[in-house]
Amino acid sequence: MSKRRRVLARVLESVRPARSSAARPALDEAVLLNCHERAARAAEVSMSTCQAAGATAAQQRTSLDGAVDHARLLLSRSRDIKSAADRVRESLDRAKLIALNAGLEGARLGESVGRPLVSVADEMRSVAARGLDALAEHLGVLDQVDRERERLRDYVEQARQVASQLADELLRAQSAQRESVDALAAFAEYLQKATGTDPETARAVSEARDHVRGLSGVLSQLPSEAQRELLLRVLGPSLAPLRALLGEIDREPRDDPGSR
Amino acid sequence: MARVAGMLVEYEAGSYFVPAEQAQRVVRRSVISRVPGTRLGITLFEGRVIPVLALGSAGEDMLVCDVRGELVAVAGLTALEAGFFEAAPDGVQTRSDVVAQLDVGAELDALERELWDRRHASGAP
Repeated sequence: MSKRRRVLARVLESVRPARSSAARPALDEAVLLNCHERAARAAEVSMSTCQAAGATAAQQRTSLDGAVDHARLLLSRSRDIKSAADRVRESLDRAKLIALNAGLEGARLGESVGRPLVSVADEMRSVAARGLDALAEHLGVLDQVDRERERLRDYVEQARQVASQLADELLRAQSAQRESVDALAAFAEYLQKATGTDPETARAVSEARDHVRGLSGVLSQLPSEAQRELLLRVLGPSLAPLRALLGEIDREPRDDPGSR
Repeated sequence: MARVAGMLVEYEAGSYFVPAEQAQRVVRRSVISRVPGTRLGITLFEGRVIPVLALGSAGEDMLVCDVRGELVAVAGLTALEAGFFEAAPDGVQTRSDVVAQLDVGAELDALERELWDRRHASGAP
């Protein structure tokens, strides 16, 4: 018997309960193999998704490591800025002190001689004082930036830990998926050995059965006899060869001595 | 009104005027060796060891003064301004306020009295 006929014979037997007792296991096997195939495909997709997610998590962790490194670099830059600001403050302090002493010298010289020196010293002192005020403001802003940077570093560190955990969990999921794929492969092998069913035939049986069920369902849903007849007339040209083939198959088992 | 030359300083007790005849130099962050339990200390100024009278503790400046021909430093204050100011009774008139004159000599005398009292209290000859 040709493969196509074998398939049709099984389908025919499966949809006719009176004669299906022997065919049921074959159909069940076909359904079982079909389910297995779907499960295997799903497991493969799941495993590749886990792999992709794992790769993404690893990239994320690398990016976060980079962010942590940059936060450390910012801290170092901030220290450099503070050190430079300290030097500026010392210079301004010194300038202010020099201005005070120059003013004092000018004052000791008397108003007629010392007045210009006192004026210059005053101006210099006020410039230094403004510089010190601006520097204090600048350092205050820098302190705020430092606090924000510390907070940012904490958040990034937290995110890095979470990403690390996620990567570990994805690795575990990936390993479980690999086991699942292996188990399904072993399951398919033993199923084929136990049932002797060719997977391709089983797939065809399962698909043909689904089509027959679909057609039966559509026909049963039509409310009137007239509508059913109309549908059959429309489908007639397509169904005629199928009907002939089914009739031929239906006769075949009676000619086959092994089937009795 | 007459104008007087000098310097304005500030410490915990308020702002004061030191006349230019007394105020010699402002120095900062000098190393002061203190005499324990007193307001007295010593420091090195231009190669000379001079006494230091601590008026306050908040300020970082030290004003070296000439008091009766001797150099005496006044520490713990902040130098504010130097120049010429309008004279006022017992002090000078600044832009906003009348500032009393700091009598460094009187402060020094008071310190000496404190030291003598302390010496007598401890029973020393």
